Amino acid sequence: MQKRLFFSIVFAALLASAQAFGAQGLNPSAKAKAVILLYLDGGPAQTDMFDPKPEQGRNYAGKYLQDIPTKTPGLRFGPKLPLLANMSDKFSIIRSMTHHSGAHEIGHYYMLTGDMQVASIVYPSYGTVVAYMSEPGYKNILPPYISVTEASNRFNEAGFLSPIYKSFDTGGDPTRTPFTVEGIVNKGMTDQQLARRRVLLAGIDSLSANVDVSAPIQKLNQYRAQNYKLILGDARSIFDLTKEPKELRKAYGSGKFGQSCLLARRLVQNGVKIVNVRFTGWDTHKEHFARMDERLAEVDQAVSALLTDLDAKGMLDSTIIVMGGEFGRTPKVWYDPPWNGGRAHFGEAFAYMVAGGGFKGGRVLGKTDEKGEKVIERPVYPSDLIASIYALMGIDPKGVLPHPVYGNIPILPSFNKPNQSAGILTELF
Amino acid sequence: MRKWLLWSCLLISFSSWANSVDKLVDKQLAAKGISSSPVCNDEVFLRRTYLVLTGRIPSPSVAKSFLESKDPGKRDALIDQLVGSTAFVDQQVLKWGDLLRIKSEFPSNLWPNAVQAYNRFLKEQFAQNVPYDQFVKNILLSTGSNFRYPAANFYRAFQKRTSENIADNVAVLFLGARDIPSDYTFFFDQVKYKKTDEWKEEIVYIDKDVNPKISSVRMDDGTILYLAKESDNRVPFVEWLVSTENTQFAQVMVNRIWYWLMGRGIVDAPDDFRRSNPPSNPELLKFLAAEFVNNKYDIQHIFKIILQSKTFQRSSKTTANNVSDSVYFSHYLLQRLTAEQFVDATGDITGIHDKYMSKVPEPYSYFPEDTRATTLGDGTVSSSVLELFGRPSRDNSFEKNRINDLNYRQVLYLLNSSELEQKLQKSTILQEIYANKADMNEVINNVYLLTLSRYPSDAERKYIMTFKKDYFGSKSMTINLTWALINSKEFIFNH
Repeated sequence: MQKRLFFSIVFAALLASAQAFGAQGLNPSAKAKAVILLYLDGGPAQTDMFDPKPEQGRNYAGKYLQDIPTKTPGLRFGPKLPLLANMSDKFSIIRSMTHHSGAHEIGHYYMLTGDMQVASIVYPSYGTVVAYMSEPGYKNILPPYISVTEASNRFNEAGFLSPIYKSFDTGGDPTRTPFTVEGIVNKGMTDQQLARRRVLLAGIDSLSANVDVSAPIQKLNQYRAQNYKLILGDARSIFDLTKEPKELRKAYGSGKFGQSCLLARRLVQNGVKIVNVRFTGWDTHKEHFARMDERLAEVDQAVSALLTDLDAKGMLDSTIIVMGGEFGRTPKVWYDPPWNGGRAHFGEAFAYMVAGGGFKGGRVLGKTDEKGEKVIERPVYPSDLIASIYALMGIDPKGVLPHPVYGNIPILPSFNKPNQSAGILTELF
Repeated sequence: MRKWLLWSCLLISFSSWANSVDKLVDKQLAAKGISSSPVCNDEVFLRRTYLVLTGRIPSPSVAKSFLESKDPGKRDALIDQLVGSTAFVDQQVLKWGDLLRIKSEFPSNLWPNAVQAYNRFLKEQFAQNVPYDQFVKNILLSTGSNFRYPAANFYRAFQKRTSENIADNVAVLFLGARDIPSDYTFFFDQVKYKKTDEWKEEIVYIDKDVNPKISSVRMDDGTILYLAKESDNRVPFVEWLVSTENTQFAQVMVNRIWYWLMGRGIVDAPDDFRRSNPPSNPELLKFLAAEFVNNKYDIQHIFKIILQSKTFQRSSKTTANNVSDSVYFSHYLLQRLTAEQFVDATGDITGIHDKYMSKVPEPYSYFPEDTRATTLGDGTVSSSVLELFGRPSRDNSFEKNRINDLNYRQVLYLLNSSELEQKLQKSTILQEIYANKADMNEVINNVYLLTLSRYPSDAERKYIMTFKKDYFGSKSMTINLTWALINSKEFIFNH
C-alpha cells in the first residue's frame, strides 16, 4: 500500500514536471473542451460584416450603405447579418486583427500557426497542435481534428509535427444523402459486401509466415481490426445528418456551409477536439457585392443556428467558436476595371468573431480608423488569438513543442514578441 | 590519365562491382554472426526494381515477358534498361524536387513559372547524367533570372533569404550535416536579388562590391579558403566542396542512393553525418564513395552497382538468425509504398489518374488528365490522398520529411475509400477483364498481373475459386479481388 502511494506520488511529480516542460496533454480543468473554426478561406470583407463604415459612402461601403444595430448597445453590423446582430450577446468581435500581409499563403500561415517569425522552421497549425496535445487520454474512435470537407494545402498544416496530427478530411458533400466520408462512409457499400471482401482479403494476404510477424505487418493487422470497428460501428451514424430533427437541419440552412456547421456540432458532441469548417470562395476581387449577398446570408443563418443550438444543448460554455479568414479585404471598393466593384486583399486591419469556451459575449475588442484602414486601438496579432485559444483549451501558450531535429522549441514563437503580439485576449475572458 | 583508364578497364573485366558490395556486406554479417537471406525470386525482383527506380509498378505485359524470359542475364538487362530511362529521370526529379523544396508557395515561394523551369533544369541534368560534382556546381554557382536560368531558384527557395539559411541548406544537402561552422555563411554574403518588369521574374546576382566579413576561412579539414572583394566568393567554397579530397561530399551522395534503394542509409538518417552517428558499415561507404570519385561522379554507375548486388536482391523473408537485424542489410527491408507510388499505382491499375489543379495564381490551372503524382513537380499542388500517404511537405531538405510509416488512416482509406471505389467501379481496364469472364482462371491471372505483377499461386487460385458461388466471373468479383489485392501486404509494402 505504502509502496503504491510512493509510486503514485513520484508519478504525479513526474507528470507535473513533464507538463511544466510542455509535454503533451491538455489541462483537464480547462474551460474549453473543443474548438470549431469557421474558416472563411479567401479573406472575408470585414467592413461588410463586423466593422461597417457606412458614413464613408459608396466608395467604401459600396451598396451596403445602411448598417444595422445589434443587441449590444453601440455595436453595429453590416446589413446582411440580422440574425447574428440579434444575438450579439453570445459572441464577441475583434476589430483589430492585423498581420500586415496581403498574400494568401502568408496570411494562411500567420492566421493558422500564429508564427510571424517565419525562420527556417515551418510551424504546425493550431488544429494540428490541439490534436497533438489532446493525444494522451484521447479515447475517441474519430480522429481528434477533422476538416469539413477538406483542409487547405496552401501550407503544410502538420509543420514539424507528425502528419498523423493533421486534420482528417471528410471529403464528400454533407448536403447529400448519404454523405460519403473518405474511409468511413462509402456510398453503396453494404455491410455484407464489406464482410465478404474482408474474408476474401484474409485468405490471400500472406507475404510469408516470417515476414507476417514483423513490426510493420503487425501494425497493419492492428489498424485493420481497429478500422473495421470504426467502419462497421457507430462512427457512420455520427456523420449521418438525417439523424437530426428536420426542423433543426433546416434552421442551419440547406447549403454546404450550414450542413457543415451542423456536422461540426455533432462531431464535437462526440468528442472531436477541433473541427475546421472551411468555407471557400471569399476571395471576392470581382462581383464582390453579389457574392457577399449570398455568402453573408449563409453565414448569418448557419452561425446563428450553430450558436443557438450549442447554447440550447449546454455546449457553448465548453466549445470555442472562431470565425475569420487569412486576412480581410480593402475597405475601399475598387471600381476600376477589371475589378468593377471588388475588394482586394487586406492584412492591415480585419475582423474575427469569437464565442464560447470561455470567450465572453457582447464585447468588441480593438478599433480601426474612420475608414477602416488602420488599427488605432488594441492590435490583435494571430499569435494573440491562438494563445487565447490555447489558454482556454488548457495548453500553455508559453510552452514548447518537440521538433524532430532541433528539440523542444516554443509553441508560439511570436507570442509576446514586439510587433507580432500584443498580449492574450484577457479582455474577452 | 591513360594509365587510370587502363586500370579501370582491367578492373571492370576482372571483378564485378556487385561482388565488392556483397563482399563488404557479407564480411560484416559474418563478423556479427548474422546470416543473410537468400536472393529473392524474379517476381519480387521485378516489382522492387521497378518501384525503386521508376516509382511505378510494372505493367502486366512487362511482368509477363520478364517472368517468362529464360535469359539468365535478364536481371542485369532490366537494370540497364531502367537506369537512365524517362521514368527513372522523373523519379530523380521528384527526389531532388523534395530536397530542393520546389514549391510555388509557402515557404519556398518560387512561383509556378519558376517551378516549371526548375523542374525542366533537373530533368535535363538527369537525362544527360551530368556528373554529380558538375550538377552541384551548376546549382551552387548559378545566377540570373528565375525563369531563364532556373538553377538560380536554389537561392530563392527560402522564406528568409539569409546567408545563414543558404549555408545551412548547402550543408544538409551536400555534406549531410545538420550544423556547420558559422564561418561558412560568409561565402554566401554576396547573393542578392532584384525584380524585373516581368511579372514575378527575379534575378539572382552576385554583388561583388560587398566586402567580405572575413578574409579567409579555415575549413573543417584544415584547408584555408580566401575571400575577396570583386570576385564571386562562392567559387572557392564550391571548388572545395566538390573536390575529390572532400570525401564526405561523395559519401553523402552514395549514401543517399543507398538509402533510396535499400530503405535505410549506411549512415542513417542520410543527412545526419557526424562523428557520433557513424556508418553501419564504414568500409562499404568508403568503397562506394571511391567508386563514385573514380568514375567521375557518375550517378548512374552507383545505382547500377548497388542494384546488381545480391545485397539489393535479397529476399525480405527473414531467417531465424537475421530477423532482428535492420542495420546490416542481411535482408531487404519492407518499405510502404510512397504517396506518389501508391497513387500512381492505383491510377495504372484502374486507368484513372487523379486530377490536379493549381490555385496559384488565379485563374486556376488544371493539369492534364493523365498526370502522374510523381511528375507534379510542385509541392504546392497536392491532394488529400497524397497528403495522407506522407508526401513530403518540402518545408525542409531532410530525407525524413518524407514519412513512410504506415498509419491507421492510410489503412482506413485502403479498406473503405469512396475515391478508390469509384476508380475501381469506373475502370475500363477492369471492365475488359470481366468482359471475358468465360475463363475464370484468366480473370484471376489478369487481376494478379495487373495489381501484383505476378501470377497467382495454386493455393491462392483455389481459395478465390471458393467464392465462385457468390459471384463467378462477375464485375463485383473482379472488383472485389482487385480491392483485396490492393489491400494486401504485398501491395502496400515494397518487399
